[in-house]
Amino acid sequence: MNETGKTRASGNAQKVPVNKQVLVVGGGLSGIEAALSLSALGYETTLVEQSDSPTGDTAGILALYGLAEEPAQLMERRMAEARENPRIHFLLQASIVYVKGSAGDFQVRIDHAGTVCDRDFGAIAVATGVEVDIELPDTDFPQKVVTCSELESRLANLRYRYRTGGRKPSGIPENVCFIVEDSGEDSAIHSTSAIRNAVAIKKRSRGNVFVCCQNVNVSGEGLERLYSEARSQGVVIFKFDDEKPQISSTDTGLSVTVRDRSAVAQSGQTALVEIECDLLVLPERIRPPSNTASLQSVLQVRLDPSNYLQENNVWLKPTASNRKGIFFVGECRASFNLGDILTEARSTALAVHNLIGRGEASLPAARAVVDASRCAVCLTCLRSCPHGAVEVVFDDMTRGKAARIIDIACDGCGVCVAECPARAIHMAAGRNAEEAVVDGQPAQAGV
Amino acid sequence: MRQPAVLVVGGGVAGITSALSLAESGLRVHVVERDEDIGGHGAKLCCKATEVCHQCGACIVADKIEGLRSNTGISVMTRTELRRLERNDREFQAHLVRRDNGEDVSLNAVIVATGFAPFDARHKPQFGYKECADVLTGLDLEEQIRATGSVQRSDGRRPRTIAFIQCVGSRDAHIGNNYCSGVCCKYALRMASLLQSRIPDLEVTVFYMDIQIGGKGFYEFYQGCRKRMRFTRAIPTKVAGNGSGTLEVRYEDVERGHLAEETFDMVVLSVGMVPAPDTTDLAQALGVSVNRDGFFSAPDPLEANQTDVEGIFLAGSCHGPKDIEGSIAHAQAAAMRTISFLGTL
Repeated sequence: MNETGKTRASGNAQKVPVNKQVLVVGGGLSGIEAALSLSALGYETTLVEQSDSPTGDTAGILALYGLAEEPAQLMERRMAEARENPRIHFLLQASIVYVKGSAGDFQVRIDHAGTVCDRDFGAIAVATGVEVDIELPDTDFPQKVVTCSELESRLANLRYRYRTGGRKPSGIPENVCFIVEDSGEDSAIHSTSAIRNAVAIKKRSRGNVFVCCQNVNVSGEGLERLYSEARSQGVVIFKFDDEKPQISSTDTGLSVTVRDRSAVAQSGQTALVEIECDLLVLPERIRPPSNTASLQSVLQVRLDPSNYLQENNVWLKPTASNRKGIFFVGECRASFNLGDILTEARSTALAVHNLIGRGEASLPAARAVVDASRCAVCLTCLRSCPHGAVEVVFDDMTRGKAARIIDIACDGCGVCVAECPARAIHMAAGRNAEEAVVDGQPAQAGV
Repeated sequence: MRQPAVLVVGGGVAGITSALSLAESGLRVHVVERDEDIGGHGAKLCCKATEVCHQCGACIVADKIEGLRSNTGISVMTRTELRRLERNDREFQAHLVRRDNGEDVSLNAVIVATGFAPFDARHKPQFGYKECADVLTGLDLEEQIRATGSVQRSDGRRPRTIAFIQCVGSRDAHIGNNYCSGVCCKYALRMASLLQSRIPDLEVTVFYMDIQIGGKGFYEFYQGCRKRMRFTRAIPTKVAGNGSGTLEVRYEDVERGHLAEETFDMVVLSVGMVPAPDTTDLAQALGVSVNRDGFFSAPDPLEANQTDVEGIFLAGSCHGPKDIEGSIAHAQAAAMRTISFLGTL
């Protein structure tokens, strides 16, 4: 550990000097927005992106956000800003090998296109985003089934051709049907995407557009109006609950059977309708990137039950990880809509600023302290600390190894105090952790 | 050099969050609050935990209020209103009024955090609010649970059947509210869950159009609710007392294609969020614009904190409906933008 790890007393709280360089892991929208926000606050950032483009593999994902502005244009606008920003340094085809140290003083080894480099950072913002995939149903007409983002890129292509003087596009099939099922994801952007593309198709073709969905997502600026527009443009919307639409193949193409709740047959029951469709659009599934588990082990942070990164406290510290100085931005912790991602990138920048902004960080008032003479180096504390705040060092007083609490990383939760079999750890409060004022009362084993 | 000063207009959860974040960065902060006390609507909410926390955020508001009270570096002026804002060169002059006493303060930036107003359910007379004692709004129910720990009918008995009517004052072009408030699905289902845990045989019916799924873990929670509650996709056309102490709710049963009438002990109207009453006046005083829904406008969709005036930022639900989590994040982003702006002065 270098100079920055040592504590010194100044003013009321104890302070440690911190490194003001920030590492952003992941390009894409959230990473770029985080880097831009940090830059606006005066920080130099290094942005590590595993693909060979600073935008990451966002093409498929951006299609899902449902914006007033076209996602591609938005991304271009932000990218142009980021590229010209002298405070943002891109490392492409790069990934993190290991992270040592703690808040204010992380030592990071980066594999940059096969070359290893070591850098030091005061804080780390993780913005690794999501991946999408889809398992398309097995039909006799695979060419008639597309994903939302495939459709979106086709539409964008048509628009492009039209704008550049090509003939008026005629590539839109007569009957288009979207099926959007709530799939356990945290956000409902699929239904927004379907409604938006349905409107886009209606404006360009005289054909029929059907949207079968469970719940239309209208929570977000302008989305209720978009939904109203879809209906006034003649998009036909079927809402289903437990009875899902059935896809089947006919002699000539695909058909979708769905219950029409608004049409009641003579029998007094709602009717099933069959939609002949020339194009069936299905949403991708959104999931955490496949390398999340390895990232989790490198960063020593936690995963939630859905394998997203687990924030420290959804309410109090939504962008903080269990480790101080490591922050989560955007979709690496859950699926969100776009506005929330931008807001979160800025609120993370603020959290970084409040941690390292003055070039020194205040130590938490209440934190754990190890009595080295009682420590048996059993590593119980090291294993049980939720915040990665325990290290084993050579203790000068006892002339032997002992556990030590990394002051700045300690959250004062007391787990180690409760778990230590030798009762060698207690909670200290006040200016000098050494002058303990609160004696740790070890909890009984198993409590 | 003297630290720049920021005026935060409004002492609800968004204003408090912005103020605390700015103070943490070493800026001078003034908070003005029109009411007697800080806290805003968030301070009236009840905890909706059952055997587990459902992340309603009510406790976070209490934490934030406490944080502001114990922060001696922030000047908090209650019962104070901002009447005028003038810009001279790089400074703003704010004219504040407290009980007819005026005061002028020099500032470098302003954060508007004036929040929202709950929709007044009397504007939908068909739901019988204020006419039938057992028709409550979601906020009334919050306050009742907060005060008494549970819920009871006007005659003191416990309800056995309860209906939640969603989208009251939201998604309603007829009354000019052509937007979704985004919070009502969540608060209604959390509240219904809480009541079911307090009153084990309580039958809950939720009348709705679309459930707004969003926020970590909400989808799973909603699936659990579907097992314990009845979801009916219809918005009732009439709620009225029937003379025997219960309420008749009339709605269109689309599954069967006719009008249905059902009896409930209580009806809860999930009222949405509308702009705070004097938003237009304040916007005029500040020289900023409002959007077509009447909330403060952030013209660039990618800059949700930025008004059309440099140095004036938006935080929380004055910009549009937001839940507590959303307000906090938005308010932190506002603080970030403010700090960045002050750095360029």
